[in-house]
Amino acid sequence: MIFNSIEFIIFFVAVLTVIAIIKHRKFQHLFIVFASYFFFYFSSNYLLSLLIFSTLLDYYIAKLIWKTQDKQRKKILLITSLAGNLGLLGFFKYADFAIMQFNILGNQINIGGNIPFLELVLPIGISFYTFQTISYTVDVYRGKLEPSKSLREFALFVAFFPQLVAGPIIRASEFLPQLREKIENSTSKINLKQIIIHNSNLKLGITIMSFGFLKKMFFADNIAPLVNAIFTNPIGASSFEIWLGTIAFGIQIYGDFSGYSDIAIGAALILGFKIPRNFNKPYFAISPSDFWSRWHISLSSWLRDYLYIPLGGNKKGSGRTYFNLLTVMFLGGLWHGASWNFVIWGLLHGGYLAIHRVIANKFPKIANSVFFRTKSGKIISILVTQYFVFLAWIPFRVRDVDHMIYSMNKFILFDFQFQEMGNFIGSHKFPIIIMILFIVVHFISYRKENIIEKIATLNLKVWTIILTIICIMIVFFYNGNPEDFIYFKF
Amino acid sequence: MYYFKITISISIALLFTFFLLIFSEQTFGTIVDQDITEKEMIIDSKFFSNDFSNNRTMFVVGSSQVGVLNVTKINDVISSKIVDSKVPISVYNLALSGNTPSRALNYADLVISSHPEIIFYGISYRDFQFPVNTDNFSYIDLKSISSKALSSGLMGIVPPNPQLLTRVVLLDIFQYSQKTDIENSIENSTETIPKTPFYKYSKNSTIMSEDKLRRVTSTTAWTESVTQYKNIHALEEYIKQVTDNDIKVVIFLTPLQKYYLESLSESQIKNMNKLIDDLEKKYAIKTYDFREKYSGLDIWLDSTHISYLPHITQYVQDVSEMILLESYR
Repeated sequence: MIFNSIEFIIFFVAVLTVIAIIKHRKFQHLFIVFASYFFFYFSSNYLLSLLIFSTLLDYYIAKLIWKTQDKQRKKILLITSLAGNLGLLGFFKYADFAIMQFNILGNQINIGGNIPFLELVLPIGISFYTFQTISYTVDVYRGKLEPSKSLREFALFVAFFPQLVAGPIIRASEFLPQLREKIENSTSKINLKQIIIHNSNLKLGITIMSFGFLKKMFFADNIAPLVNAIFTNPIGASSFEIWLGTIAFGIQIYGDFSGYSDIAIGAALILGFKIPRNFNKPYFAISPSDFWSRWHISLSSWLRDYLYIPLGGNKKGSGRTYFNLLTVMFLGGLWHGASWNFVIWGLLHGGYLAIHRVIANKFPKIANSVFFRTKSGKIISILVTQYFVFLAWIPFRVRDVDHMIYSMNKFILFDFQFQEMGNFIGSHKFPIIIMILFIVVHFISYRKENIIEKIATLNLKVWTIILTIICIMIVFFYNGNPEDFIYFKF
Repeated sequence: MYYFKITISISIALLFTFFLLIFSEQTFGTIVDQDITEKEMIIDSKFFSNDFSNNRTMFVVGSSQVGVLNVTKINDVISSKIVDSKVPISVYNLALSGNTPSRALNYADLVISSHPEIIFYGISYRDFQFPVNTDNFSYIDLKSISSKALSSGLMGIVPPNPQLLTRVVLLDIFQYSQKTDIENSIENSTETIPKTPFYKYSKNSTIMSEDKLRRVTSTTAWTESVTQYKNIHALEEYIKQVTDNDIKVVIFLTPLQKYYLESLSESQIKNMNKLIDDLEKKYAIKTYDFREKYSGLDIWLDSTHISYLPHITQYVQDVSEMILLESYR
């Protein structure tokens, strides 16, 4: 079920009510596991079996890895886990993509006859929970984490419904300790904590969730029609329209994805679990690497720890570093979807990171210049970085190659065609107003740190009024068609 | 106690918003019964006030898959093939975007009152939404059950499109009258043609490439079985009403692109074939099957609509011949 639906509200209220009433801890944890499975089953039906398979596979493999002393055996077990999870992901997500490439290649060299597509349904959340369980097995292999002693605990970690479908990708090392109760003088027995809904968590969690809903349903969903209008067929559009559409898409995807993450984080917090934030004002990033420390933080840190560093990171010379950056971002792009446009997006970002590193290495005086620490310097850094970030959003959004090339061309080489600008703005007033409002609100939140936490500490009357205003904005600008979260498709 | 206060605060926020929405709806009223609105629109168009008695009138009815038929061309083809006719044949395209048999049944009385000679009804899989597997449900479709339950509970109380309500409220407050961005955009990009009173054509018809057709044609895995029976019954009722009024009915299955056809399950195809057989036997009507006729040709606007670029004439030609054949049978 999608978060922005009445079904989810009813489900979430029901879960909280049961947890609040029934305080028996074993029941609580089992209840959340089954509630999470129900949540998953609601959207994905029998594909729940894949989630259960991934859970069982990594639970037992991690135990075996931990028990065995033989390094070779540990490696084989790790490879089994990776093969199982990546095999699932690869099969369901990339099989038809691979078949399409074989068919295209076959047609190019006149082999004749096409391999039929499997037309598999993409299981919701598979990109997220497979990465989550992989990180668990790898951490156990590296000795950084003891394996979970209870299947119930591990199943809850994997299937935890707030973050199950579209992240944030949580690490077992962060989550499992939150589940466990500290027991004095006992290292073998693990007791799972009773889940208590604290007042402070409830208020902050609801605040975070409501801002998440606002970002998604008020900003992202109301800007989506403008983006669709421009990019469904951008051929013939002026540079002004392409720029407007690109900025609109940047706002849409941020509102959509960070909104989802906020809802997940808020829901988890109400249940007493802290999930690290997934976004940190990425559109104020001052460099490509700064952008990736602010955008989809759980994925970028996962890629860093489980791909970039094992490949050698930046420890094996500059050439190898640039190669590693491009490889990681290539795979990061491919993770988003079985399509070359995502690969292009990933490679663009890989290129940006590599070029930024080249500049930092070859021109340290520029990179370390005092000017870039001044206000003007920061503004220029932000504008230059965001120019390239938004340029990369074009291949992310526009799949058709001709449309993509046309749009990027118009983005880079501004045509100064303003004749139709007035008409265009006139016929898209509402989404443009929403965009301007977003920019203002986002800037205010950048200047005022922790604004959501501050709102959550306001007195109850003021807090209720703010909550009511948010509800009114969401409901009164809802067009009746709940838009899917963009990252659900990944 | 504080816990309780927070819960009360949340409830106040939600209830206040809900009641404000209901109050605004009652005051400004945007919930409309779409079927009534559609019938009102049809009546307002005064199309059925015309006198059809001078010609042999033929109506072509259906959804946008029928709407793409250019009746100007059909009438040209027919008139070129009939020589020496005292009473010319006049074909009208009464297609409506998104039409289904249950919607068509709402204004069947208007159609019948015009006494056409023959009604050519174009149908397709989308009209009935046969589930992928009708033999038994292999799983319980919770999404479908819950959305049906919620929508039937909320229908008539909560406006389905609060954004429209907000717009009405704001325009009313500022005493402003202006078309929506979407309405303007539709008006600027569409045109009407003679004898097609209810369907608008995009000025920018294109042909979709094969690659794109493959990408955009998703599996038609409908799971809502209620619509299936509702529309089958509606179609049967429509045929019955029309034939009881001595109007001939001919059913034709609208063309579909090959990727769409490939996406259908055996069960869906079987259901459609059975429906056609049953209609032929029960009502002694003729059916024409254009489903696969153009499936591999490069003439598609999308996977279910043939492009209406001027040079694409196959569908028009075949429908013209069908009309001619039936009008002299």
